[in-house]
Amino acid sequence: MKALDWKMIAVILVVSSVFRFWGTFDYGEYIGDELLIVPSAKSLVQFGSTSEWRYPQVNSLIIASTIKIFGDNAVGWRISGVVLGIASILLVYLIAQRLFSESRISVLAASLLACDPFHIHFCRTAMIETPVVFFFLLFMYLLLEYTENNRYTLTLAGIAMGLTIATKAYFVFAIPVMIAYAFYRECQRNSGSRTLIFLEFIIKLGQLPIAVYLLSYVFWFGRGYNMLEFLQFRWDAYWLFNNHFSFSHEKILARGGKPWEWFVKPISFGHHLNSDGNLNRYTLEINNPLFRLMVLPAIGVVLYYSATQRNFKWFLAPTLFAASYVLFFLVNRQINSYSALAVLPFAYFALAHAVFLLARKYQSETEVTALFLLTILVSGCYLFPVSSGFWVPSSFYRTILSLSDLTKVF
Amino acid sequence: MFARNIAILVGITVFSFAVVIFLYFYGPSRRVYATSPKVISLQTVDQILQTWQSGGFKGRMAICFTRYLNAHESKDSKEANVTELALHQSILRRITHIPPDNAWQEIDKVLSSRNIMRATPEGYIGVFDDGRVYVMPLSKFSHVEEKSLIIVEPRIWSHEELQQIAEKLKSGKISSDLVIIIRGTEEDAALFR
Repeated sequence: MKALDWKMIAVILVVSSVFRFWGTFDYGEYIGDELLIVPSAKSLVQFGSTSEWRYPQVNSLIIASTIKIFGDNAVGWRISGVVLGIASILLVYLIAQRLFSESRISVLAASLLACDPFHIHFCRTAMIETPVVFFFLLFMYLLLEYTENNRYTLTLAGIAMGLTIATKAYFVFAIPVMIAYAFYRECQRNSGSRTLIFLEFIIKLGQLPIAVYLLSYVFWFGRGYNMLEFLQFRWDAYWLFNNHFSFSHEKILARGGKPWEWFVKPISFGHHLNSDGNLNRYTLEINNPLFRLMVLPAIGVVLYYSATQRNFKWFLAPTLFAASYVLFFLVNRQINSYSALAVLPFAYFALAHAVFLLARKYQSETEVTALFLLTILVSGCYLFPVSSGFWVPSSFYRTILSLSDLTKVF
Repeated sequence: MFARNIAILVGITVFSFAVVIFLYFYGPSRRVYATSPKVISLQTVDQILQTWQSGGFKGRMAICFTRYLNAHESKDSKEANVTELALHQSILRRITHIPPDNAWQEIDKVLSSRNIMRATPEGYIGVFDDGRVYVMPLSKFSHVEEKSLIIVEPRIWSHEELQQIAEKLKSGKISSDLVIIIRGTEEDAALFR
C-alpha cells in the first residue's frame, strides 16, 4: 500500500474515533437496548443463564469480557461497540481496496461509514448489530485476501464466519453469496481438482463455522440440554421469530420506518433529552438522507457498469446489499430500524463506486472525490452533535427537528 | 504446502468432531439428581422452589400434574411463578404440564389464543426463552423417558385418576427422584411411595 493510502486510513480512523469516543461514556445509565443486552451479558457469566437465549451469545460474551476488564460502568458496556465500529470502517477500506483496486473508492466508502450519524449513534451504545457487521466484514476481508491475494486466510475466514452466525442471523443469505464468489474465483485461479477445492471449502467454511457456532452455546448446553434439544431450540427460535410478533413497543418500532423506506425517504426520530432555551440535547436516529437516498440509484449505476464492462467482481457489493436486505422482507414481524446497519457497508461500497464511475466518465475523478469527501465530512460534523446527545442550538437544526418524531424525556 | 493444508483440514475436522462430542456429553453431565428417590408433602407453592433449590437440582425435566402450571390454587393467585423461576435459574430445562381432562376445554380455549403456544396432536408446546413447556390432558400423556421432578396436586384429580398417575410411576412410564405432593394428605403421598 502507498504511503498516501496509510495517511488516508489514519485520518479516517481519527475522525471515526472522535465521532465514536467523544462523550460516549459520559452517560452512566442504560440507553435503548442496553437495558436488555447488558444485564443479559452479566447474567450469562454470573449465573450461566440469561433472558435472551433466542440470540446466539457471542455479543453477550464480548460485553461480559469488557465489563470484567473495565468494570460494570459505561466504559465496560460500550467500549466493544466503539472499537468494533471503528474496526469495521478500517475493514470497509481494506475490502474496497480488494474489490476495486482504487484508493479513491476505498476512501469514499470508508468515509461514508465513518461519518454516518446512524452508524455513529449505534456504535456509541451496546448493540448486537455493531459486532455482527464487524465479524461479517472480517469474514469478507479474509475471504477476499484468499481469493484476490492468494493468502492463506481461508481458515481464519471460517472462524470469522462462525463468529458472524454466532452473533446474529443477519447474513444468512450474504454468507452463501460470498462463499459462492470465493469458490468461483478459486476454481478460476487454481487448476487443481474442483473436488479438492470443494472439500477444503466444506471443512473450512462449513465444519469450522458450525463448530464455532455450537461452542458459542456452551452456556446453554450447560443448563442440561443435549444435541437433539439444541435442534428443537433453534427450530423454536425460528418459529418464534416468525410467529411471536406482538411487541410491547410496536409504536416505537414504527417510528424507524419499514425496511422498504430505509433508502427511499428521510427518517429521523429519537429522544429530546434536555432543554435550556435555544440550547437542547437530542439523540436522533437519522438515516443520513443526503447519502441514503443516493444508494438505490447508485446500485443501478454499478449494475449497469458491471454488466457493460463484464466485471464480475463489481457485482459483489450490489448482490451483498440485496442478499442482506431481502431478509427483512421475508420475516413476518416488524423490523427495528437499526437492522439497516447490516446493509449499510454494501450500500456505501456501491455509492462510492458509482460516484467514482460517473466521475471517471467525465474525467474528473480527483475533483469529484474531493468534493464528495468534503460533503461527507461536513454532513457528518453537522449531524454528529444532534444524534449523539450534545448541547446544540435548535435553530441550527430547525428543518431536521421539524421532520423528526421526538420523545421528550425530561 | 500441500501437506500443511492437509494437516489443517484434518485438524479442523478433529476439532469440529471434538466440539460436537464434547457438547453431546457436556449438557447431560451437568444435570443434578437426588441421590435417593423421595416423596414429600408441601402446602405452599413457594416451598416447591425452595425444595428444588436446597436439593441442588439442575438442568432437569419436571412433570406437573396440576390444574395450573405453577400449582397455583386459582388463576388469580398471587403465589410465585415457581416453574418460570426454576426455568430461569436453570433448575428446570423442560416442563410437561398435565391438567385433568375435565379442565382441558377451558385450557384449550386459553392456549389456542396465545401466539407463543404451538398446537400439537397431544396438546400444545409453549416456546419460551428459558425452555419448552408441553401441555396436554392426562388422557393424551403416555410417558417421559428421563427421570423427572414431579408435582402432583391430588385434590384436582379423582381417586381413579390419581391411581392412574401413581401407576405410571410404579410401572416406569415416568420415573422420578423427587415427587412433591402439593396440598395433599398423607394418604395421597402414600400412593406414590
